[in-house]
Amino acid sequence: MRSVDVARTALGNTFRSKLRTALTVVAIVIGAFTLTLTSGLGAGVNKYVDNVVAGFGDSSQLFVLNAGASDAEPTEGPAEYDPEAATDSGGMFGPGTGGGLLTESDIETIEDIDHVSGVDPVVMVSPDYLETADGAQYDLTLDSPANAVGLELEAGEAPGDDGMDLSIPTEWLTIFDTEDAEAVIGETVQIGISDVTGEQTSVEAEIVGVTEEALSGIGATPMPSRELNQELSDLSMEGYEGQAEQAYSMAVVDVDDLAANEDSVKSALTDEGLLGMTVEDQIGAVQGVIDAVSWVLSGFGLIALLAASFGIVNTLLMSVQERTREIGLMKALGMSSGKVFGLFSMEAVVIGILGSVIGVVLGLGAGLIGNGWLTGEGGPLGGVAGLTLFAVDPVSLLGITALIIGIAFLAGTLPAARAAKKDPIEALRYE
Amino acid sequence: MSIPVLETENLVKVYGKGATRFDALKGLTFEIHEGESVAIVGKSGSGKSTLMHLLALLDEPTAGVVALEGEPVNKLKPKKISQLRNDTFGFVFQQFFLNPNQTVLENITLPLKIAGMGKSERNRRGMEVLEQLDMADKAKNKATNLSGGQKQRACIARALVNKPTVLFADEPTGNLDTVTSEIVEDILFGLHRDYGITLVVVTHDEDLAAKCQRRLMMQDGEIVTEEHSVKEVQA
Repeated sequence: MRSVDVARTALGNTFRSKLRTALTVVAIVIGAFTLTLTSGLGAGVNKYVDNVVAGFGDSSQLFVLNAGASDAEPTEGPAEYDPEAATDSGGMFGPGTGGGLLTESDIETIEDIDHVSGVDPVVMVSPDYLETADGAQYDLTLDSPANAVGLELEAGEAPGDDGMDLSIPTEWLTIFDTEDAEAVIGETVQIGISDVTGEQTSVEAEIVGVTEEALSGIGATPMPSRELNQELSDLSMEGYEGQAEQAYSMAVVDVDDLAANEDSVKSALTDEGLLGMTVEDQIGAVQGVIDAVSWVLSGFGLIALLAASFGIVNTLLMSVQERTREIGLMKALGMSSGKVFGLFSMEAVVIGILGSVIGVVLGLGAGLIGNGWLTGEGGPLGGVAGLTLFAVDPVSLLGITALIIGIAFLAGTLPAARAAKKDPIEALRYE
Repeated sequence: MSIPVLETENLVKVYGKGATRFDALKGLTFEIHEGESVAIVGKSGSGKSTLMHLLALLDEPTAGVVALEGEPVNKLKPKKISQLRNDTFGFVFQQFFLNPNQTVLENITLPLKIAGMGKSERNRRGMEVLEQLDMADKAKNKATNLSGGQKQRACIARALVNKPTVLFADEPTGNLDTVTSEIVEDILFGLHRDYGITLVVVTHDEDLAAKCQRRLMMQDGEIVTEEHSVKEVQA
């Protein structure tokens, strides 16, 4: 029997009992649909994260945090006070922030590590207000300049290292009575901050960019340049008597040839109780979580498929029983056992192909429509710039189809083997 | 004399073991030559069906040898035996075994499909045989819509479509009325006479058996007598 005839006969036989085939196919469709949606969801969110990373460029920078908290033994109830650890974890801002701050001595330590070409400590400041040219004042919380790489820009550019620059989110356009993001570029504002004695001073800053809020939250608040941030920090420390120890939330470290020296710099940092992370590390952790979630969801799809595979076994076993005579005749007329096996496993494969194609197409449709509705204009998630919840990944779609056809084939082997084993004489006698 | 198309030597078939042991065939040795018509006659339980299954290579003997054109088939692989059946034999069954969902043409070209022949060639050969049996107008009919005689003719067409050397007929008229039986008998013996097909008929019908050149009378797993017709079979 030719392969094409095996395939054609299998296809014909599959449609002989339409209702039974349809019900079996529905079970497969549910599995395929679920897998298509979950893998598309994973691909979509990862694509969004990738887009965010793409804005970071290929950075030679390492973000260094104090790993201090991880030194402390977890205790039940209140931990005993340890003066050394408290100092270690960083001066006046240390306690209460999880011991995550860097001290001046930490910065010096980092500078001494091989391959480190520059260290840029990041200072957190708490300004009081932002004042526009017409005198209106607004409550102000500033983002850290270290997050500048993650900004999604609507207009202008991200605040850089130098210059008294500031970016504002699109929501803040209202304070300039405009909806045109380009129009506010170049406007100047006053930022007020109190020093330790409670005296307020202000500095002038220029708006260089307008940002949209990213999924990470970056861009939702105004962001200063590094120079502006440092200036505000210096103003806030004015009037402090005694030895002020500067504390930094983190440091941006430039490394020569990051790709080659990443591991050695990281291990040197770890030895000092510090934690170094590249952009990829930070994003990778996020993507790892997304992948894990989409795998768990895919697990449910696989469970559906497992149930469906028993449906195939059941359907084909019934079919073999019903067609005992036909099998006997085919064998009597010279069909080899191998071909009989091939014919019945091909019927399983036909069911698998039908189920997977219908399921994948439905899944794609639901994913694309759902994505359009959720993230489109006016949708519940429409406010998050550049968000995609569902992406078409041809490789994983092919993978899903192949997986389902493989499962269908495996499910078909038991009934097919039973058909192949039939004795033609017994089968022809069967009433 | 030429090499017999089928021959057996001390053919034994035993079913079961111990107390349930049943000797279906007790050492048969005979030959069937090309172009012969042979009837295997006996009551039910005489072993005639078992003998036919062994001759048609559908079953394996417990002991003894079946040889096809001088070649013992015991040593052949199952796949090769399947192929031999497909090439050499045609089968006519009492219960027809036609697939009711398929057309007559699809039914009768099944052996060619199994042999791996292309569709257009299959259909050409199928139509040829149907015309030979005056069934061409039924080619597109579903098998389930045929009368008993038409079904048996379709069954004969299926047996002939691969141009077999030997045609096995297992109670070919068992399910047919007298008039239809005669038509079917005429077709079978006509094929034997006109095309020289070797005919092996298994039956308990003495009238049908009488039309064959040779009759092997079976009882309790043994050939008790063998008769030869002297005169030519009447048309």
